[in-house]
Amino acid sequence: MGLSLIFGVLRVVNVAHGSFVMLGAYAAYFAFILWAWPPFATALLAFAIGALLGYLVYIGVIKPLNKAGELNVLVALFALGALIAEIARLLWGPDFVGYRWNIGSVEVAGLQIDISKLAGAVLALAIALSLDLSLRRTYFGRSIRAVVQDPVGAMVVGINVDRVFAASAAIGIAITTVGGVFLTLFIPVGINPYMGGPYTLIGFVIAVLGGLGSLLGAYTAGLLLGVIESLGFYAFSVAGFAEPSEMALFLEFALLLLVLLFKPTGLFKL
Amino acid sequence: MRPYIPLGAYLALMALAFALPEYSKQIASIAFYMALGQAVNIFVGLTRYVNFGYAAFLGIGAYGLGAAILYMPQLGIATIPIGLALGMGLAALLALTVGAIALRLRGAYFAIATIGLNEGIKHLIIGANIWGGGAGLMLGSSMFKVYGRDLALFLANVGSAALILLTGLISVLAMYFIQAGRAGYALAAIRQDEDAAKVMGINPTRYKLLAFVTSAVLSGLLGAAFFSLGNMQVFPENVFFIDYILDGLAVMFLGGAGTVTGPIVGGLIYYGARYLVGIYLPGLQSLITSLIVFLVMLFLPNGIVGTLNRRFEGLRTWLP
Amino acid sequence: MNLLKVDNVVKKFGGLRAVDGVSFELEKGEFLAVVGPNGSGKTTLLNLISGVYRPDGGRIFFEGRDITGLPPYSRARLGMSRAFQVPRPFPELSVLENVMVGAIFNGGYDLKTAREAAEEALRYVGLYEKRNQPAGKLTFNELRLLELARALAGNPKLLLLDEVMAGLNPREIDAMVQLIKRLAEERGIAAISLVEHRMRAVAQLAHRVIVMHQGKVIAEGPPEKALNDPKVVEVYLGRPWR
Repeated sequence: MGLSLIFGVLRVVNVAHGSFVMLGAYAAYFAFILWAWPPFATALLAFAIGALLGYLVYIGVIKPLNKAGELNVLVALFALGALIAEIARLLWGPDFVGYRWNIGSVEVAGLQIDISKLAGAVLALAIALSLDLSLRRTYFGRSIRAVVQDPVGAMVVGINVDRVFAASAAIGIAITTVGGVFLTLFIPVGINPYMGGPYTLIGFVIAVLGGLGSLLGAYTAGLLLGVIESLGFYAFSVAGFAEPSEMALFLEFALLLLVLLFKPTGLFKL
Repeated sequence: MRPYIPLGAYLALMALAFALPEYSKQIASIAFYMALGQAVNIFVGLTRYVNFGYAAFLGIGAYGLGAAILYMPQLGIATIPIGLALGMGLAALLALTVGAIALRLRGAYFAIATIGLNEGIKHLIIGANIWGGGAGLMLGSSMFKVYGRDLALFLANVGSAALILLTGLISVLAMYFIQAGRAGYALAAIRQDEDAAKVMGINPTRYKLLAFVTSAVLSGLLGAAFFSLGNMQVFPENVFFIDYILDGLAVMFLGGAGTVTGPIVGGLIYYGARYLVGIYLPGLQSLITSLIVFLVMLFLPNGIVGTLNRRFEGLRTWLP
Repeated sequence: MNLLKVDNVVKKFGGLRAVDGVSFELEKGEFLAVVGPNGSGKTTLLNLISGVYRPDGGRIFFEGRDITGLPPYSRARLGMSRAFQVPRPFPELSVLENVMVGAIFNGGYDLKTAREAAEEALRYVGLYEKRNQPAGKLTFNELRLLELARALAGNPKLLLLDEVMAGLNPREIDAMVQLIKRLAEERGIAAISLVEHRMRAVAQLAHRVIVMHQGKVIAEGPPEKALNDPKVVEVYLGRPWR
């Protein structure tokens, strides 16, 4: 159950819009651990810092490299992610750190749930909803969607495509960073510079499952993934022949491949 | 295209290893990076698709040999060729399965698929407790038993180095022959304009798969040589270490992606850089690696050989 | 047996029928011009024939063989060749290498023969002197010729030309026309050429004309007859072609 909540949080961590931000996610996942210290208040700080980083990454890396071809951007971002992790290690040391933020727990349907976790999940949902709404209702949101569908057409209509891209990158990474903050509510110990790796994978699985570009889809996919992972965990524990947490991760990878094979546009269409 | 310069350079390196056996370990390390870069080059350089899960092939190769040594000691010395074959076979199998699915996808989607490859395989091995699971394989004692102490040590030191050098040679040759033949034209077409290539009679998936599997098999060989033979142990955390893809990318991009000479040059420089860092700024190797890749991508995306080839037109024949 | 038979093909995009039940036949060495305004379905038709799209209905036969389900690279190997409207060279390869790609994969030649075939094709279109230049450096007209050479080098049976005259000045058009005519007559290569403008060129070139409008064929026959067909005049020209 706790795992389901975790993935509900993580879904926040991705996709301001489709294939574009997909690239930004690489670096983002490695970066987020840096902002993990105090809880909810930090979320705001994380958002701001993340946005700034996103913008920088955009103008520094993504825009100039887009001309040279996809490969270069991907590799550069990957390297950037690794670089950030290394710098983190330099600054903060490789050891695991963590904290508990205990504000009591609540009984729901016979299970004990920490309020902090519950709050985290609820906030994640709130963010997802607000993002989705703003994409649909506001002028800016609609510009984003226009650009995703037809960049040249959008330019002709007067939308500053470059700024839209920059802003999307900024928001995307900002959300990712916030996601990182929320994540810390769920893993009391285990923050270290290298924690990003598995989450990149998870993030992509969620993004692809939910359909790149669909925010609510991503949220739902996140929950779905959480459920699948929990189920997988139980199944393997019962079966007894395998190390359950590891197998659960393998399951996610297999899932990613399957989805990519059969339904690359994702399960939900929003 | 004349392969004389890159081939000659590499053979010279090999000769050096034999002539100066005290330095053979270092030279083997240089060769390791060259081979790594070349194997990555065969796929990433020729197709411009990024395989982030690359280290999985190193690992699988290592496991192949390791498993053979550990579980089939009755074969005696034959465990080596059989184990190597096993490692390469597994790598090929993995490449075929993943490739058949992932290579139908366009660039970015393919990259996503491969991101999970490394972690996925690692977790599978640890989780399902295959081949020693999380604890890995300790080959030392088995190797002593099977080969006898002296032979085992000989294999670990000299044999491993020799195998690494050999793998490097094979990689250079493979890269050259692919580049210079039909496949080279096909891959060039595919990476510059995949749709146009299709209309002209090229089946992109087939050629991508060719490059992918070749790259995988060579990596498997390298992994077996380095980990199982050289270090006498195979730990999942080590062999599936994500840094190796960065190393490979660094070597390849530094030298020049898509060229035969590139990884040779890149390997030399990269090794030198790491060596220096090891002396003056120890512990920062990984940082330097990712920094190198990052900077190269931004400022010198064609690598040294690539940029030279662009400036001076006829150079491509001699530095293919 | 005719070279190409298109049988009632249909292609839909969403609710729009881009190609709506088109049928025609093409003989060996025959030159067919497909005429029609923007959006009439010409390019879609060409994409269906070359295999870039799969039809939602109908079938396509090449030399008597049903190729409806074949991917583009298989069709290319059977002898179909395509020149794009906006030239798509491989920018980093030299002119010669570009054409060689066509020879190797379209024609199935080995490297040595491919090189010879490529050189011959370049001589034919007049680009031989520039054969070692990187393709990215050619002028627009030269790129068009490159496209043509590449399509030729594989010794195709059918040439699919996608508005190859667009953007050329009258002198260049004449040269192109003469070239294509020579191909049809000297080499027996059939061709389907999409034309939007330059009716004059159409008339000179083609043995037959098909006029398309909104996905359907509204007239077919020798140039003079088809282009003066009252339906065509009404829809496309506004006045009789002279």
